[in-house]
Amino acid sequence: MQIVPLHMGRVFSLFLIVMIASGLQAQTDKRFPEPLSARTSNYDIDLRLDIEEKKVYASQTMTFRNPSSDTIWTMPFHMYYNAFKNNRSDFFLESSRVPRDISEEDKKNGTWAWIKVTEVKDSLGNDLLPESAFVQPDDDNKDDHTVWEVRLKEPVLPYATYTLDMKWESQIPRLMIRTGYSKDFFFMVQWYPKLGVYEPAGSRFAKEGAWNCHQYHGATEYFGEFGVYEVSIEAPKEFVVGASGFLLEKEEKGENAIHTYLAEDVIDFAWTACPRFEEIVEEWNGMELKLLIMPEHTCNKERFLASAKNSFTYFEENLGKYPYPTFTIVSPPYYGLRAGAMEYPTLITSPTLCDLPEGIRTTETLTIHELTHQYFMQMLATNEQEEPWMDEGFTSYYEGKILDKYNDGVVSFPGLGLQIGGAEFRRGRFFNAENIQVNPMSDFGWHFKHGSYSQIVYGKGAVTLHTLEGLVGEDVMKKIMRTYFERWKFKHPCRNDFLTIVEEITLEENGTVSSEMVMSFLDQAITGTEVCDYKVGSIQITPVEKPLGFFEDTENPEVLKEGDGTGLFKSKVTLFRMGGIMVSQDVDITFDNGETIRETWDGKARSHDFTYVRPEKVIAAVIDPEGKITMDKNLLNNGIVEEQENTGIMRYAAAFFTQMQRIMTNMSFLI
Amino acid sequence: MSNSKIISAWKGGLSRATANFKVVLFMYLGTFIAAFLAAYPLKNLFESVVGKSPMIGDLLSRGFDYTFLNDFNNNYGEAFGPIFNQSFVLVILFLILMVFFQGGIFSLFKNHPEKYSASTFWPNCAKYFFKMLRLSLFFLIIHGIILTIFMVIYWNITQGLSPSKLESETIIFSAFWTMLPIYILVASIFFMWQEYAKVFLVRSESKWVLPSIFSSLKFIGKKFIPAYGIFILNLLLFFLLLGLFRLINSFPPNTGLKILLSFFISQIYIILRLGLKLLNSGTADALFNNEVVSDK
Repeated sequence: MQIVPLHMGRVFSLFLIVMIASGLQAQTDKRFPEPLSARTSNYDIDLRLDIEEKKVYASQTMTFRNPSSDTIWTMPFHMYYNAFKNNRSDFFLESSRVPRDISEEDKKNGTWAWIKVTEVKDSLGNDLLPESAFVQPDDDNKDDHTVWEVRLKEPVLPYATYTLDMKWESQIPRLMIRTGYSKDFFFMVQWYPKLGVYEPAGSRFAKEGAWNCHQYHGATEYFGEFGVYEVSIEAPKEFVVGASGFLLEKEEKGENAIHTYLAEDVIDFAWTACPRFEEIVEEWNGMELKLLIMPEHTCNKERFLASAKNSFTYFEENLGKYPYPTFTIVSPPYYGLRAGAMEYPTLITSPTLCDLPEGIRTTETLTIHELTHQYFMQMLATNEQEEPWMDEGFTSYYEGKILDKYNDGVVSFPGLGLQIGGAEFRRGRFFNAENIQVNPMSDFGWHFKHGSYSQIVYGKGAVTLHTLEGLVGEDVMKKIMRTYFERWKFKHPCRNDFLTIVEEITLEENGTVSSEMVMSFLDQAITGTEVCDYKVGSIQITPVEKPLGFFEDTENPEVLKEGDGTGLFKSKVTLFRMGGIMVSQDVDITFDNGETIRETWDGKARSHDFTYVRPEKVIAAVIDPEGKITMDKNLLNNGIVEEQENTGIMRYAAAFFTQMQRIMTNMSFLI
Repeated sequence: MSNSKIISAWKGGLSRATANFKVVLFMYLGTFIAAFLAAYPLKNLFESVVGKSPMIGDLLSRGFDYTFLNDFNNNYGEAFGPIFNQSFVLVILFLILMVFFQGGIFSLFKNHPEKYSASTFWPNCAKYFFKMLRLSLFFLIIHGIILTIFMVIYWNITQGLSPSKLESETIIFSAFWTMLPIYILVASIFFMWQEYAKVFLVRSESKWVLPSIFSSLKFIGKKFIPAYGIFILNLLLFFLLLGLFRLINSFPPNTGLKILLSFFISQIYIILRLGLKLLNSGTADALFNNEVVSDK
């Protein structure tokens, strides 16, 4: 009888060991069983963060697999910290607002940031440093050192694998935009020598195999190759560290701790460190949701987590499941606000303020937006520098949809009657641009030299996709986006690849709107600068008289007699195309007997009319009555309703009236 | 002792305000005409430009409509400019009208505290207009200085709101909410001083404004507790009125009848708000009367 408990104890101990072991296994076994991507560029980096000197010392092994039949003799690397090396870099020259952020003291002390490689060798031990140099593929600005080209002694043979070992160090910039440090907060992005993307002939716009490696510009930064990153970060042990991917192991080393992270099938790797982070971890839907948040911001933790869960749920239902085992939201401190709201693989930043009213959905908006980038530019790895709208436009489109579905928009104060929808807010921001025609949406990011970058790239991109959805219908749109995701995830699509899918599906679906018209609209919206504006010009009604005068009989004219009216009216509805964009339009015509008929206009001519001879008069004509074409810049002129009920205007006028009175009485306090 | 002075003066102020309620109606008429002159062009603008748009139908139910306002502003926004400029001018004209009324109001309190007299009110409005204007400008500067001092203190406490200098944003909000009541209490002293300066200006018949300013400062220095107590009491009444108005007027005006009801409630609020202003002036005059004239 006494043996039994002993046996039980042993069994229990064994069970416990197995459980712990399997737990450990689970901890480390977040690797994908099969690669999700081609894993072309893989990095193994060991780094030490020096918090006193604000420096990083690192050794890096980069393995590149040639995806082409080309023989490659060079390798360009992004050295983006050199954007902060001097005030003549493209980044500073293009972002006129940024240099002000470097204090006078820093200028006097020569405090600029940089990254330099101190050693680079190939697998045969050849020293490649002497043959390497900074290059400027985008311009002739020799002061810009953000792209560094390594000239190889042994070429990379077709489809072969090539390894480079490097040692490098960097001076971390003060946080002025996206990356750097502020006090004890470190946000490290674009922080290592990162290989460009080799584009074989036929991929995206490449006619022949070539590297795609742009300099660091003010507005754009992403285009990376898929790979596996194993990064060991040595930092003081009181620092809480967060990074792309998942924690493989953590070990202490004196006063420091080494955090080893593994991120698979990602295009980049970002990390952060701060001793003040509170770490909130939640297992949800088979993944680990992590929130690195300041103690003063924990009041909003549920808003972050709910936004993330809502977004992932939405994408799972509408696009595709998020495949990664982790997702980390970094909510920076106020002094780290310039890390901004940014997106990196499996890790985003999303600032928050607890004192803002809950009706202002900034926390939700930023979280949803940055999370959406996990799909658009991370998994669907478009070239954000060359086609920023395919990243920000798609993201803004989904941001609006998710906000409207789960959060009642970007601003919601039902008690005050104040509500602004997510999609309408994006549309508004586009049309509020100083010049919505300044560049085509398809332009490279840094070609927007005269403003309106974000309004066009984000706003017009979102409005274009909303209009596409309006034209083809919600279900077809969902099919388009799902197909786009399934076909191009973990690859590098360009706009042509998306357009091919749109054409394919609209032809297949054969909906009410022709594929040709949809493609024509997209072409105008993406590569053109014209605006879209349709207008109902007038409704003219005239009584139809009986025929008067001479007809066959030239002796006895037809004359008007008492009671000779036809009882018919000629109603003419005139429509105008005010803008350059041509898109077919539904037009609802309503008669005074309450009947409404739906007409279609191909929208190509500058004007068009619908004429009716009926006993009923036309009382209303409305272009695009279902509001499908949000690209229309003036929705107010889309219709004419005769004898319109103007109580709505009275509501506005009365509100303005009483507001004026309140201002006057309040100001009379000064008298 | 102070309490009885406060109550007595407040009662005196109330009787002055109720006896001269017609003045409130004049002021109200001023706000009504000015607001009408501002709002009517706006109504006409909407009617002429988008009066037949189908979007107008939704405005009634939606109220604030971002897309409507944004599209209007982007496509016809230049028409807003003259209307807002005109509204600004109307506000200034209304404030000048209020300055004009001050001489009449304090003359009524001085000469006919129990009953409104048109023959006293209107001539004295004109008689004291320029003195009251100078007084108002003087105090406008004073109020500006006080506000600037508080803003500078706030700016320093929050280190210019600089993300690179502050440890957290908590100080931005906590400093604001701490300083706001302090500012109200401090600024109240200067608003109160302004009321007594007007009392002295009318009662002293001085040719210059400065003696009244100094005399009133001396007076509130001596009678600070009752004077300040009355002012704070009136301020609390204002907050109470504001709260009540917000509570009663919280329904969305999404039908013609509700628009009318909301408008009516707003008018009652404006009248009571102007009545409070008159009460505030009346209490200052009553305290002065109780403390100085009665003592003589």
